[in-house]
Amino acid sequence: MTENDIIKGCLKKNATSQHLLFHQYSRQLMSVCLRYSGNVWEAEDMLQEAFIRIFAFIHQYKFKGSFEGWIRSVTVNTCLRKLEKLKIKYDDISTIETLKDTIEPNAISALAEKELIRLISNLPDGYRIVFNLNVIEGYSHNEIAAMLGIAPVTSRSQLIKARRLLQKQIISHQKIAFNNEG
Amino acid sequence: MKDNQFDDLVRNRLQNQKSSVPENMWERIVKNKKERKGRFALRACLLIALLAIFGYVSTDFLFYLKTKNNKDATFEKNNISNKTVKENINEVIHNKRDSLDALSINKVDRRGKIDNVAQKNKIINDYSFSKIKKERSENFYNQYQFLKSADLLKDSNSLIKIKETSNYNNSNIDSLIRKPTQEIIKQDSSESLEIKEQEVNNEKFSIEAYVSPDMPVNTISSENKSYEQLLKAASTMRLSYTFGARINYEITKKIAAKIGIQYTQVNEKIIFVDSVPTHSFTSTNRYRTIGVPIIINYKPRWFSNLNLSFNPGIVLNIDSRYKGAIPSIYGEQVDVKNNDVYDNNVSVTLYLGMDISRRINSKIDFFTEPWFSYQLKNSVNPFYLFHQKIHTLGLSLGLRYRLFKNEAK
Repeated sequence: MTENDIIKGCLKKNATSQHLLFHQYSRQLMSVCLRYSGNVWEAEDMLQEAFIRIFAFIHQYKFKGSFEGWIRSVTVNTCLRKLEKLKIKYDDISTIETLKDTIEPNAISALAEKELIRLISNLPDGYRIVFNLNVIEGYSHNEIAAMLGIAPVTSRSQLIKARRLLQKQIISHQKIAFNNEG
Repeated sequence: MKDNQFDDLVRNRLQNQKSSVPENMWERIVKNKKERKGRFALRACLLIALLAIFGYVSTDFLFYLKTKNNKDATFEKNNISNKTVKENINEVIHNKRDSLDALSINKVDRRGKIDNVAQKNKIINDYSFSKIKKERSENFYNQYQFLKSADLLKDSNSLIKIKETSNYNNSNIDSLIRKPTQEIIKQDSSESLEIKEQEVNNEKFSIEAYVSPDMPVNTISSENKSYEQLLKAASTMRLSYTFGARINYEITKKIAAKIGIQYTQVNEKIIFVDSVPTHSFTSTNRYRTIGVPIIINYKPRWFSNLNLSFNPGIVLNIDSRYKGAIPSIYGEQVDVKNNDVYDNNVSVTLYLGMDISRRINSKIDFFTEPWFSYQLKNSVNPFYLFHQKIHTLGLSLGLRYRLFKNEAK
């Protein structure tokens, strides 16, 4: 069964097609949800809600562009809606710390993907959301500002802070790993 | 490392990253979808019911306003006509002999007063009451009220006195009394018919509220006969209740349609005693349902003031909630809510009731309705190895309210 057949089946509310679609994309979308949420339970709720919305609004997909991109954007929107309820504060940052240690490219490669996701999840809510939207999803600061109802400058400052904090966490994680090996 | 490089590295690692999904995630999604569907159906039905009630009330109110305006207009016309009558009579009185003035009624002897009362009653009967009884018209009643309030009857009595004591042409006075009244009668008859028709239309609608103690009848079956016996032995149905409201629309004199909303709570006591002491438990189970009764009311005949009719129909169960516990096939306690033992989806119940009503006043009837409902669908989730249907016997007691009086009946 091709992707188009599955989509057409989902348009007809066919349970088998919906199940196939779930099987095909659930792991990928779970990863998206984990990056946006603070914990696994919240991510599971987000994934559940995301699939319900995908099945409900699949008629809005007009077979133009990537279907994967479409369901990913639905999932991201669902995550943002869920996080909206937490009333996250996006504070402007006046001073930005500079890193004493430099991060090596192999430090990221050495990290398991699960670990990297966990480190991103540990970021404060505002940093995490902006970092995900900009770095992983590729939204511009103006788009993020419109999506979150904040100023573009706030989005920029949140990203810089998020990046610094994440780099710091990676370095400390690297140090702990090095010490354990030693 | 530059920021751009860092971003690219993270993006490459995570963009197509896949994470494990809990095993029961698909079941959770399906369950959530079902629940939302049920909630949507419930909301839709509530919205329809609210719209129907709003539509009914506003239509009723418009009818009421229209009828009231017609009544007022007719009364105004009558008022003008009666004033003319009074003026004509007064003119006659003043133009005739001095002894025939309007005050003569106060000067008659005792015998004369008695006669006047008799004559007065005669006039009332001749010109007003007889017509009121005959036509049953609001307009004639207004006519009478007007004559009474405007002292026209007193003047008519004066005219009778004039007839008795003068040489004035009696037939002229008779015609003077009769003519305007007859004209009014003739003029009003068409309008009164119109108002009567409107009132009859309005009386087609009524609203009823009821409450009923219920006695549920539990039917349990299972392919595993020992489990069936276990469930039957553990379950005892308890007194339950139903309450609700319905809108009644009279299609013909014998047939009416009813639609409404009702809430039912079925109570069940589970006393499970097992050879393993830790497995024994007692539980009070509650099955709550919201239903939309759609009923046809058929009136086979009348018994003077006692109105008997039959109510066959269906009840659409739009939402069900369950609470309590049952024993599993292995004798363990199973929470019916958390384990989704029962379905929450829409099912249909057959309904048959016998409505016996008694009129309290022109607007309100008291009714009692013994009824029986038969559940068509098994309410247990197919995953569990038994079938359960709960049929119910009940006795509704309620009031039926009409917005408009039905004096013709």
